[in-house]
Amino acid sequence: MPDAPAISIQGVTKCFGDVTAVDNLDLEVPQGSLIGFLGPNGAGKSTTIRMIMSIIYPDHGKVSVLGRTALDAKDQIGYLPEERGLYRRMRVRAFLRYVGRLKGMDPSDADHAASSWLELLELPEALGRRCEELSKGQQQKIQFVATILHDPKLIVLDEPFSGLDPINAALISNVIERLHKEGRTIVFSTHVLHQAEQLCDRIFLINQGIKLLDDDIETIRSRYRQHIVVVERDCTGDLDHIEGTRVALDTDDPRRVELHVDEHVDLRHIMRQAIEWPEVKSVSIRQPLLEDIFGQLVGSEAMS
Amino acid sequence: MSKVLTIAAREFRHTVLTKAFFIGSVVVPIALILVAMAAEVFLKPTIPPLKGPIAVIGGNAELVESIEAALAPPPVPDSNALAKAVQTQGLTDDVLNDVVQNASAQKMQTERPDTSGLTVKPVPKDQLEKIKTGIREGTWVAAMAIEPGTLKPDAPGGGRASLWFAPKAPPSHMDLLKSALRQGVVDTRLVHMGMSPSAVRAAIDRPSVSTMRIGTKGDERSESDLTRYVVPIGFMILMWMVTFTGGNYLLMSTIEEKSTKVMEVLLSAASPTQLLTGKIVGFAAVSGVMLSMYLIVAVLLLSLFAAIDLVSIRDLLVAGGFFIVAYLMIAAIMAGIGAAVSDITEAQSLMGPAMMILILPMLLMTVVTEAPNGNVAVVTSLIPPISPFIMVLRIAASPEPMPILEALAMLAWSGICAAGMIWAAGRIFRIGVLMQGKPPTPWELLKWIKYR
Repeated sequence: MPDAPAISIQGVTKCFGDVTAVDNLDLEVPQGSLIGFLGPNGAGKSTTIRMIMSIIYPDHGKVSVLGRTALDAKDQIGYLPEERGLYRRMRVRAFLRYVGRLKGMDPSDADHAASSWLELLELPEALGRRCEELSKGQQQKIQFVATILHDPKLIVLDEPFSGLDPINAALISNVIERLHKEGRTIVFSTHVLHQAEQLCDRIFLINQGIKLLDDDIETIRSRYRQHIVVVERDCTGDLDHIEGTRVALDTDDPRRVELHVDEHVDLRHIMRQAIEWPEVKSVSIRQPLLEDIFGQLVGSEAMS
Repeated sequence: MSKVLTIAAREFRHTVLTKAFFIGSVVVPIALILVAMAAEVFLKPTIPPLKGPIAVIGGNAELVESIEAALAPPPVPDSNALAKAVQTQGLTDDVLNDVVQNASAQKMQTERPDTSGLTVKPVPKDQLEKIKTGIREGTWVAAMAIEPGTLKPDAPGGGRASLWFAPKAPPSHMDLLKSALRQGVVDTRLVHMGMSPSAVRAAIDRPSVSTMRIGTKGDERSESDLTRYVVPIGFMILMWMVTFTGGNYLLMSTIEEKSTKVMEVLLSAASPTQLLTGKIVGFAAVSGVMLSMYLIVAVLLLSLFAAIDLVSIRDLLVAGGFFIVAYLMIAAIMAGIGAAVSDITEAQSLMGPAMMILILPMLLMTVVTEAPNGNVAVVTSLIPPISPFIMVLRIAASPEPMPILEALAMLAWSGICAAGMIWAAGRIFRIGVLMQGKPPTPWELLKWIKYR
């Protein structure tokens, strides 16, 4: 079904005992998109992903993947779970061949694909080694290769950069962008917002099992257009409240203050008032980041 | 199906192609065969001959004669004559008796020293110290001294005698000389009483009794301790050992996949049912290899001791069915426990209650073999997961072959129970493999079974 959405979730609810992990969720992910699944810890991201992967099943509602039931589409999905795992005593070649075979590949195709990807990820020598002999970062690359080895149409990456140094994170990031350009649908779960902002063209935000946002990133930015006035001072201390703003202090530098300006409030008026504060060095305006938008929706403490 | 086989093949390869499995399941059984064969070939007793004079002090001519007779090599029936008798008369009871006596005599000869070079001499009591010196120096073999009155039939406490022998004399020499001395004293007393020792021995020789159980159809079946206890218990223990080892491999594999977090990767490629089925099939093959190795050993050992006809093909086939069912039950328990825990320490706490049930066949072995159709045997053979083990005991220990329909009905019942246990294990597996942290209580496990 070429026109079917990559993921379609309709009225899905999942409870664990008394806890509702996902509550009446509707979500549609178009094919070819790179969507960020965002939300604080315990928001319901992993539960949603596990239902997409048909590792667990919803109590109510329906999940379909690539126009089929989630279970039937398993071989078309690549999944990098948040908690990584390898057979410690198994050799890398055998592990990748095993995963490839489970995804329906011939052993020779799996070997060939494993060699190509490891070459690209600058780890060709790992093939003959046991998994336990590799560093944590190298193991993470092996798991990433296991995720994309079978050329899946949908790739689900749960915190793909955790544990990677900046160079290897950039390497993986390039591969993700390349796969996206080749037309794969990529679901990218994280709570590191600037990574999502750099990579994703679509955002899904969930908190306490409830969907807060689901749209492409530009629409979200335009919808939550909010001016932020940045004030830098030479001193610290209490400030007079300015009507129509919310103050956000920079915890790293208490002399820097951000004023989140409410809608329909005159920005020039706010800036004039800010300049009146004692020992002000500079007053400037910046565009809101995803972090600001999510802080507004979820609460900044929850997202950190 | 291909995913199930892929999982099964990995589990099989990564278990069977390990040093531990090779040593435990291949080297040990082969070593058992080699040891048994080597024992047969190399461990035959090589007893040095008894050669030289033996001094008898304090006896009389009859005693010397009796000791000489007791030390003489036993007569061996003519093998050629026996072979001729078998050819001409067939293997009648009399001929068979002669054959057995011949074999027994030959065995006795190999287990006792050659005494053809021995002489027995009466010696005065005052020569004892000189003879002891001779024994140390090797000119005398031994000295036997009889206390006064010992040769009388009413000697108090049976009388007393002493025996001296060389410092390096083997225990078999000592045993033979001691036995000859005692028999010589008894024979001398009988002669004094006017009786023939050989006639008295023949008269008090207890007959051998062959036990034959008469079947309901009038057929007769010989029965021995070997058929009654050793074969059933041996087979049940083998089955218990192999199914437990296979189940334990499954437990360890599941715990490894959970603790190394590889489980979620697998579940993204296969459903929990496929994963569980693949594991069960894979370790069933592992158990099959182990069972085959030990069965080969058992068959070779039974052949070595000419007891292979104690096992019937029909019973073996039925027992094979119960072996599969027993494995499935143990595998279900182990998979459930493995999925519910995060490490081996937690597994041990859940294994405790399971083991209390699974140890029951061991505790009931004697009761079931003694009364294979008794109330205890029948009732426990209906209770999973011990039913297949008890059934194997019942079938093997039953004095009459169990009716095939009854055996098949019990097999079907065990199969239904095994299917139920696998289903429940699948429910626990599906929930448990993704759970981390505190292991569930048995009550929580029951809730997982009901959980959608």
